[in-house]
Amino acid sequence: MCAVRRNIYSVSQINGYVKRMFAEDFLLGNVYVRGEVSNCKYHSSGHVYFTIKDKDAVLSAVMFAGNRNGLNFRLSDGQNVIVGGSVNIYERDGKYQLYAREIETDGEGDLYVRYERLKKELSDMGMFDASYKKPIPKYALNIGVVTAAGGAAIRDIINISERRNPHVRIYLYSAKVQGEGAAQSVASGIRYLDNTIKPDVIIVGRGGGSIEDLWAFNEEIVARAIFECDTPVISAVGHETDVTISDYVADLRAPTPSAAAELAIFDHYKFLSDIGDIKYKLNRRINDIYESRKMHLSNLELRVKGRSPENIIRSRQQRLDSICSRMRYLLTGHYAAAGREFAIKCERLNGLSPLKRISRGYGYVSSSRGAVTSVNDVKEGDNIDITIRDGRINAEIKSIERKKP
Amino acid sequence: MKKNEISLEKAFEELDKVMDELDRDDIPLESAFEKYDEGMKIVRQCREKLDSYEKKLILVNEGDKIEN
Repeated sequence: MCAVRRNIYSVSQINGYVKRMFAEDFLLGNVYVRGEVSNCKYHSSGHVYFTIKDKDAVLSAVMFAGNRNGLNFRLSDGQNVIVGGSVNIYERDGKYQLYAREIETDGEGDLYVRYERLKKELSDMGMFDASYKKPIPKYALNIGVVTAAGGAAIRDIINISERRNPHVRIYLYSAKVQGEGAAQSVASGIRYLDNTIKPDVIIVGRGGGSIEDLWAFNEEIVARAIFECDTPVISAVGHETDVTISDYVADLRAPTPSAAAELAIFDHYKFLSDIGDIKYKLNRRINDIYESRKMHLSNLELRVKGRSPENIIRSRQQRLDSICSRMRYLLTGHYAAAGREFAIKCERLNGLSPLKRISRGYGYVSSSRGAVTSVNDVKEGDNIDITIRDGRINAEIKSIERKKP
Repeated sequence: MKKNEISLEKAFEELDKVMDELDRDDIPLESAFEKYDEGMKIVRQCREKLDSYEKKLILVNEGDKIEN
């Protein structure tokens, strides 16, 4: 009827036209949409189909396999997410949908609540108690590690071990550390190492990542595996600021996998010097003991020898000698004293000597009958001797006078 | 891991004990020599044990695939 004036388009043309309109729209080319995931399907091609909704509306969405690096957790129904991408027309169905380039969980609040709830629950059960903490061996030779084989954590641990100790063995249980099934994988790894390998210590962890990446280490199944593990466990998840439930349950928390390696792997060169010190101390000590015993023995020997008969005789002889010499000394003293007295007496005697008197003009008169002391001793004509200081005079008595009484 | 082998921790504990014994002033000389020999033996064992260990990385499971 009015076919001339009317433009008639095919469905494809219309859909194509609308698609171009959408594509030219500045806003729709780059939007972020908040909502809850439903009808989520992972297709074998690698594409992920889902819808995102709020309480009033629904929007279809797809993430193509080529954009999957924009999704680092397992998308599932009920999750609150923020999807970044573009809105465009799917020409075949004439439907517009959200083409997702990146998807992140909306509101760490949700995870945070779960984290806090589990932390409180386990803490109330006493699973973080210091009394359950096992000491980390100082000289572990067999180190169990539960982490991803290709991850940064194992690379760091190997680097540290190469630097510190060429002799430790690292038993790696390669676990899935993020995404679906990660918690189960980590828990199995811990149990496998603990029951089958029985290393000296186990490091559980992974390198840094988002809170979702680290989430496996906030799961109860991992916490329980660590708690029940007989081998001491060092937990090393993410960076220094990330503290997971695993960190609380483990016997020791390391801020990073590198730090865990430093704690678990002893320094070989320090060990060599320690053992050298011990050897030195042992040698010095045994030498001291030997020398002190030797000296003690020498002392005893001296004391025994001091009591030998030979020595007793020698010492008595010595005593005798000393008595003798003392006697001699005393005797000499007496003798000398006597000599001195004798000399004094001689002197006095000398003073009394008649000769002394003679020297003052007196003489000693004697006859053949001895000393003449009286006139009666001689008669006239007798010869007498007069002895004076320097000689003797022979004289003849001429007369005798008697003193009148 | 061999079950009966002495760990380095144990070895160091033993060495501490030996040193304590040797530090006693009244230790008989004969015991002192015995303890000394024991200590040196442990020191030797420690070194041998360590030397016998070569660094190895042993993958104990085939490994789960890592996503991304």
